[in-house]
Amino acid sequence: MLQNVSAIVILGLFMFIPLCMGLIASKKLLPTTEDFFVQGRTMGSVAVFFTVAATWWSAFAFLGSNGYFYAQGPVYWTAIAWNLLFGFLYYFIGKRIWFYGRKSNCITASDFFRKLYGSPGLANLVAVVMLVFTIPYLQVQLTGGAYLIEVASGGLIPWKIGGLIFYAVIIVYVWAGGLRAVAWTDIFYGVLLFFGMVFAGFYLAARVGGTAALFRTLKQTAPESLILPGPKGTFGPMMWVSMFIITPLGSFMGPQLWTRMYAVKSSRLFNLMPFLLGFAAIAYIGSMLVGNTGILLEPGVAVADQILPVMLFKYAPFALAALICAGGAAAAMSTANSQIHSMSAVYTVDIYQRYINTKADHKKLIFVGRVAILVFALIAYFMSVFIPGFLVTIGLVAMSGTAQIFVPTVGILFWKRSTSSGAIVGLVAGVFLVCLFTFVPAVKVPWGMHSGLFSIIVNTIVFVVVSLLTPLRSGEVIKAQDEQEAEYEENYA
Amino acid sequence: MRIYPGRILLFLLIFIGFLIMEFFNRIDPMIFGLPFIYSFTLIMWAVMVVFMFIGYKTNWGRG
Repeated sequence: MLQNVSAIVILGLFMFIPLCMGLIASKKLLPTTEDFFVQGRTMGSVAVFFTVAATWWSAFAFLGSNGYFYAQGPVYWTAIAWNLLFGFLYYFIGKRIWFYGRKSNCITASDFFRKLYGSPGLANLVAVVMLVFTIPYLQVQLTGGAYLIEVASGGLIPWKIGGLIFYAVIIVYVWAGGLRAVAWTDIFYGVLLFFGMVFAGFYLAARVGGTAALFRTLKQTAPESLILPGPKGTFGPMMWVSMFIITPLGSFMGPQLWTRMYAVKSSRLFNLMPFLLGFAAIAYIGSMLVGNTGILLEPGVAVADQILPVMLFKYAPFALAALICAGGAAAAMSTANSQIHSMSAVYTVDIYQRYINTKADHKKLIFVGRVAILVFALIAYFMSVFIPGFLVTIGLVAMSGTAQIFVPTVGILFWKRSTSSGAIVGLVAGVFLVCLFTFVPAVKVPWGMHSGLFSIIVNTIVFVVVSLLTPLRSGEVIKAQDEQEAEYEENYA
Repeated sequence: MRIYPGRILLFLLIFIGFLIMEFFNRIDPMIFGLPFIYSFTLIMWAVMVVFMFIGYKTNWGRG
């Protein structure tokens, strides 16, 4: 009885606090699409750090990291390097995207490509790739979050109901407050998920005598779990490098991160983010300790991603276990709310405003954006209920798919010879290969590489070759970019 | 339509840092009670965080 009460109180607060924060944020909403989708480009440093970090640390980071350390050896430890790379990309590429976005009033990634390449075809292709590869990733957040709500409630709330609650809360505050509400709630989610990751690791490692004792014992009993390629021999040095490249690139090119580049108030904030985002990677020490403690305490868990909740409910007081699981649900919700919001922007700006109702006013566009939030949430929910097995496979390719957009983005920023034909053919080749390697297991990726990394290499080669073989972009487009680049170099670089 | 020597040096150091992080795939010597692959990568991470902080304080080597 006491257990049920504490579970309801913890989960109740977990749902109620973000709702309040989101609804308070909605009081500041101005009736413009720019304010609803990119917060009027006025986001400050605290909100930027928490919303970027909490958005990019998803259910994969919270549950998946423990599972990797538990079942696959140390390969996930490359995460502390990919956090640094992600932060560096946010400064080096993100600041340029912010600048062009501000100059051209961009709201979505497609706006950026339409402006710099002068190609509606490429802009539409980017919008389609983003929607197709983000929906399954959103569904993965729901599955992880709803599962954690179920275990945190001690089984009181079945995952199908947990999933509905998960989305209902998000829909209410995103509908009301747009990006500002998402960013404010991400501060709450971010604190909870970092606390959950770090505390869980040290708490559970203490059950076996602390960090040093844990690894001394593992060195005797399971040394193969402490070096690459791990106990199953499948995650070696090549996968260490591949994950380091694909994970930050895939997340960085997701529509939710484009929103978080456009929304920033000052270029100076981009200079600070590599340090803050890199430092935040210290939370992975918690995951590393959880996974390795699991090898000692619970060696027979069939689903590796469940090692954290399994150990918490066996070795920690119920209230503490529920609180840490709420931290995991926070990781899922802080990513899902951003994805729903940014996909709504893609539909509203890139499809509805451009092809369905070109004369729609701000009020109408905000209403369409809100309806799109509801529709995308429902699509992800029903997909998770009716075709979960199929989608787990798609979830694995989601990041590799969005990572392909990195090639035309870097191309247009640093190489004048880039053409829209090169970008389109390269992007199609990259996405085709990602799907081929995923859905046709007989086709193996060369040299033990991650399929996403191999696809990016092919994408880059095709992009360069086709760009060299096709005519330059129009002189007008290049001249406009040159002028803006000179301004960037002078005032922001 | 400039080069900044400080920025080039900083980017070079960061690039070398990533290359190093990406014979330390072993357990011994254990530092901080962690297997060597964990502790060595952690030390490199700390060095890289310092580079990122220097980047912030110096406008990434531009001043």
